[in-house]
Amino acid sequence: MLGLTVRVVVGIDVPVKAVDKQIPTDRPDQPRVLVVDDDQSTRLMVREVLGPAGFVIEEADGGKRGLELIESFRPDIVLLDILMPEMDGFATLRSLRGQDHGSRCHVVMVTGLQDPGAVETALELGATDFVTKPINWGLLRHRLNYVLRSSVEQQVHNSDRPADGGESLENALRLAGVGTWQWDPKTDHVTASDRFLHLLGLRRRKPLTSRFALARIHRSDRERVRRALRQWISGSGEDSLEIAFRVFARGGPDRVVRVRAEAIQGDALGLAGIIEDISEKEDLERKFHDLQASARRIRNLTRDLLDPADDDDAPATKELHLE
Amino acid sequence: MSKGQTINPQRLDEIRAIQRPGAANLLERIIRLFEEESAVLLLQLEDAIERSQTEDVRAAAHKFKSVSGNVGAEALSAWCLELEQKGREGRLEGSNEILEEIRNEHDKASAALTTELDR
Repeated sequence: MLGLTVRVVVGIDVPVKAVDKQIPTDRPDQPRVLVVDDDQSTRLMVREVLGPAGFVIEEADGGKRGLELIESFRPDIVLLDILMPEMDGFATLRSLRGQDHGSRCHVVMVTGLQDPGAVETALELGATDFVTKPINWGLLRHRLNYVLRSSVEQQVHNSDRPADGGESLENALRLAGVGTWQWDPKTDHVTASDRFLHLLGLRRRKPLTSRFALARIHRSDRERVRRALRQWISGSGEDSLEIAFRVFARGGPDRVVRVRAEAIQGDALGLAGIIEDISEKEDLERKFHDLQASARRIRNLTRDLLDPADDDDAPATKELHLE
Repeated sequence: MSKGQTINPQRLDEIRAIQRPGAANLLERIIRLFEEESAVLLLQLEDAIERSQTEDVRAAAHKFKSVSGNVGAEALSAWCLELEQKGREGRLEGSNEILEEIRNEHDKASAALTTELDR
């Protein structure tokens, strides 16, 4: 379903020259996985399983070493064991979510089947997903690929390039002024691109919750958006969500933005989508309607002028003469 | 009292399935690692039980459970889980008996894995 959204966005004609040069072009397309586990044989197996499947692997034998590697290795996914000596998975996760890259990457916890409480704690602390030990090696890469796919932001990062060999989807989205976001109702955690934050007039904060995002919506639209979200959570609404609303602008006219999102099914149900500024579009549409009205009037007046016999609209003729 | 298979062959087949042509024998590396790690973990368990350090018992038993799970040593893994729970509860009564079961299962698993390597 998300693929649909992406296809629409890819369709946007992107002027290659105008691409934002700040985006590194040498970013490897291979997903990067940091495996944090004190068990050497598990690390070896992860490397052997994921390496040939196209993942770049880095290993850490404990939480402390894992944290050291987050900002330098910049993994897309951290595969994090829960029970480790010294610094356990929970402490590592908590600390990791306070880091810059660590606050954005996926964290898949590795846990024993016997401990459902640990999974709950991990998800509350901001883990993305979990796998149980002993790890099913045949399924691991599919699970991680799923984690990557299920996030629109990651979809952007690992995007297929357009057929013309042009710039990445991320650039296209950026140029199109489209922001991406993802919301986990369970943790109320919102993962958002810079564009999303900009459109809502938000600063990057950790963690960003829906309460902060909703507070930026114009008062008269806020309840409508909240209701739509509630409806979506309760399952009474559609699978996808599309809603336009006004946003308070800092020191400028209010913006009108449109949000489109679709359900993503991870361990918990989430919502992922895009946000775009449609103020100009709305403005253009209004002008277009005005123009259409003028054109209709002129057409009528011209007809009246060319065929005065039919003229029973004296004021209009007068108006034409005035012009 | 059996707690499952000494070695679940499916687990070893999973490892064999990952073997890349031309690469070092993965199953052999995993079994060697199991032998090294399990020998150390056995000593750690004995030591922790003797000193009645429940947290150390829990941690070592947990790791032993995980390490043995990797090679499909299900019975061994199950005994380790039992000991891990004792450590977590802070009640070590009967842990020496469990340790004895762990030793037995470890011997059986090691022998079975050695046979696997000779196959």
